[in-house]
Formats: sequence, structure tokens, C-alpha cells
Amino acid sequence: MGEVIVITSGKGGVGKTTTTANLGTGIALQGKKVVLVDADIGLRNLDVVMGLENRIVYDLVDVTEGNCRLKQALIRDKRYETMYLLPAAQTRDKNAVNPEQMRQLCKELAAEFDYVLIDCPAGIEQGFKNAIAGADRAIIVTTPEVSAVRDADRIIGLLESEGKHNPQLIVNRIRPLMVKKGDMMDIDDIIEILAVDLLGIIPEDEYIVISTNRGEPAVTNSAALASLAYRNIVRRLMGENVPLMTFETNDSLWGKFKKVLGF
Amino acid sequence: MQEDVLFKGSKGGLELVINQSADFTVILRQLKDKLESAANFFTGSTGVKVVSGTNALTGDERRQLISLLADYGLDLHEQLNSEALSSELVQDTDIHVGDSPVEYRHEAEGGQTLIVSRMLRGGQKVVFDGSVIIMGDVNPGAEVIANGNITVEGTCRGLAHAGVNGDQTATITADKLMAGQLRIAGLIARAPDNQDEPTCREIARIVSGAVVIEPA
Repeated sequence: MGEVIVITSGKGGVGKTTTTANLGTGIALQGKKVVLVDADIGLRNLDVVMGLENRIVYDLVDVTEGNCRLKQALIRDKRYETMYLLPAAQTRDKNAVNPEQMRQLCKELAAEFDYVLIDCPAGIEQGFKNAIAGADRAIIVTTPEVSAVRDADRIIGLLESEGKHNPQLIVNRIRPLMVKKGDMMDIDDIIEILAVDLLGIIPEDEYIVISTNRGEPAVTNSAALASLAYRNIVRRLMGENVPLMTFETNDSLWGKFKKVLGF
Repeated sequence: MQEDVLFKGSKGGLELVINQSADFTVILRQLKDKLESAANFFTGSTGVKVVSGTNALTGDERRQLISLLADYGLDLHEQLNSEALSSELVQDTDIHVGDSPVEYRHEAEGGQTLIVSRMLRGGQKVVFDGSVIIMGDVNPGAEVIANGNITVEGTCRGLAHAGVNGDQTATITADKLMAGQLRIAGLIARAPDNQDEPTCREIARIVSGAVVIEPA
């Protein structure tokens, strides 16, 4: 029986989809069977980020409505043999499925796969309720901005009221130099407010933009800093004890870059 | 003449607001005058709610009020006490995930204390007819509304409203009092824009008509 993990944030644009794609690919690189479920019905993105858009035939709503079998809707990623995608419908909306259907779907997927990652839509309405319904645990993505942290706090509260406790936090798009200057919230500030376990931090990295546009998850690149951060998170997800990345901020960006890689 | 009686239209219907400190005979007289002068206005109204200071009315005074209102075809629908208040507040929260947006909601007798043994996150709300102790932080966007005192064993960054039914002696205490806004009885205090992190446990109370914060 696999584990169902929902990746959520409340606020939009903080990197839920990017995180889902990278964690999924990272898990696949470790040889585990993983399926990525795009729960953002009507605004599907995950397939684009994964570079699988033109292979979609059936989608999540087709499965829940019984238009096809689950296996028919799953898209296998040719690059990583053990990774599959269940895309969202683009022509429907969040009300096309209900939490009970999602619970059932997650159960079926968990029987087949080691990990089921659900990419949650932004917001706290129907789409959110659907996405979290079948999840065993939750990963909260936030950025070091007050608004994103507020929303993350709200989301953690809503997860708790649905009986989903102890979510783990990923802080995305950290800029160490700005944090050092006091222009950006640091990790401790965020943890103090949210009071949850930290799963990892992802530095701001241009390579994410490049990889997203190419449809090739960043985690496969061995050089980029964000890729390393994602790989560390994958290892932590699988129960390994990996120390948090440290950022040397007293020299230039490139110096820092090399130092972390050397480390 | 000072107005000790006021009719207000609200979402829930007609509300009768009474000045708590006025003499009851004055209130009755003013109410009678008001009803007399606009008798037609009130016909057809189903009832009124009485707000503010109703707790100060004795049973006898309340009966007199009811009979006077009845003479003009009005029912005393309900007293807007803490019970009615909390259900009204619940309705304000239109987002429901799970059973209820309110984590703890009790309509207990006054004088009791509710202990909430965890932190409150944004969007969570505690409404209690008595005093409340929160064993954890109150985050921005969370609300604690109590008839009595509020104590936060942690950092208070959310909204705290003590003495919601008009108790001016109510206090708000926190290890770190960093709320953007504090409300005690009918008073609202706003935090300064460049608030420093407090260095010790603090208490907020009303001193001569203003909310004052001092070390606890």
C-alpha cells in the first residue's frame, strides 16, 4: 500500500506544481513507482511542466465518471519508467468531482504505486477539498512572503480540521542574500509562525524557469542549486536523514554556488 | 435631552439599543415617547432585539419592557446576549471545511474558563461566554472572542476581543502581545505601525477610557 501525499499551499504561484513535478521525478529516479495526480481541474498545468501535454487522451474526470478505466488515463513518462501522470480535465471545473470520488481514486492508485503525489489547486474551496480528501499526509509549499505564510497557516488549520495533522513544510524561492540583509523573512521567522516540521528549503534559481519551459523537471540537472535541494527533499521524504542546505552568503552568488556544490 | 434609547435597523431586524447607565424609568419613558411618535412605523414589524446592557436589566424591568413593546405590537424577540452573539459571529465565517469553522463554541454560564490546549491558526475562531486561556500561539487571522478575560500562553498575533458584552474590567494577557488590534468591551486599540517585539509578558486593560498595555 503506497502513500498518498498532497502538495498544497493556499496561495497561488508559490511553486506547488513545480514541486510536485520535481519530487515525483526525484522519487522515480530513486526507482520507486510514483504517480502524479493533477487535481487542478480546469487549469491543468502539471502535464505542461512535465512535458506530457500532447500525450493526454483521457483525464481524471473521465476516470471518475467511468468513461475509461484508470489504467487508460495514466500517462507513462518515457524518460522515467516508474513515473505516471494522471492529468486533470481542462474543459471542466472543480465541481466535476467530489471528495468521495477522490478518496476512492487515491485508494486505487495507492494499491498500485509506492507514492501518489497530488498537485492541489490554489484556494480553499471545492478543488482544495477534493485534493486533500484522499491524502495520508500533506506537504505545504510557501515562499518567504507574509501573504504566502498567512495562507499556509490557514491551510494547515483546514487540514487539521479534516483530521490531517503534522504537515511538512517546504520554503520555496529563498534568496539567501536578501535574507542576510534582513529584506526577506528567514526560515526561523516562518517556522515560528507556522509551528510545523521543515521538510526543506529551495533557493531561488533561474534554472527552474528554464526547466519548466522545456518540460523537463529541474531535479534531473545535477548542477543547479534548486535541483540539489529537491533531491535532498526526496531523500528526506523516503526517510533518510539529510542535513538542511546551508548558504554561504558572504561572497558572490557564484562563489556560494560552488561552495554548496563542493559541500 | 440625551437619547438613552435608540432603534437601529440591522441585518437581523430591528434592534433596540439601551444606554446601560441610564435610569430605567427614564429609559421606559423615552421608549414610550419614541414608540408613540412613530407608532405607524413599527406596525408590521415582527419583533425587536435588545442589545447592550440587557444583562443589567432585572427580571421585573425586563417584563415592563416586554409589556410596553407589546402595547405597540412588538415582541421582544430575543436578547442579544453572548449566545446570540456567538451564533451571529459564526455566520460571519462563510468558509466551511469540516463541520464548523469555530473550533470551540460553548454557551456556558458566565464565570467559567475555557482552556484551548493548542495554537489557533488563521481563520480559526474561539467564542466563549467566560474567560479563555489559549495554550499556544494565536496566529494572524485567528480570533478569540470572550465575555471575560483572554490569556494567551504564547504569542498573540491575531484578534483578541475581551469583555465582548461590555465588561470594561476584562483584560488580555499574552507572553508576547503582538496583536495588530486589541478590543476590550467597546474599545478598539490598534498596534503602532513599527511595533517592536515585546520583551516580556504583557497585559492590556482599560484605564480611564483607553486601552493600556503594561508588563504583566
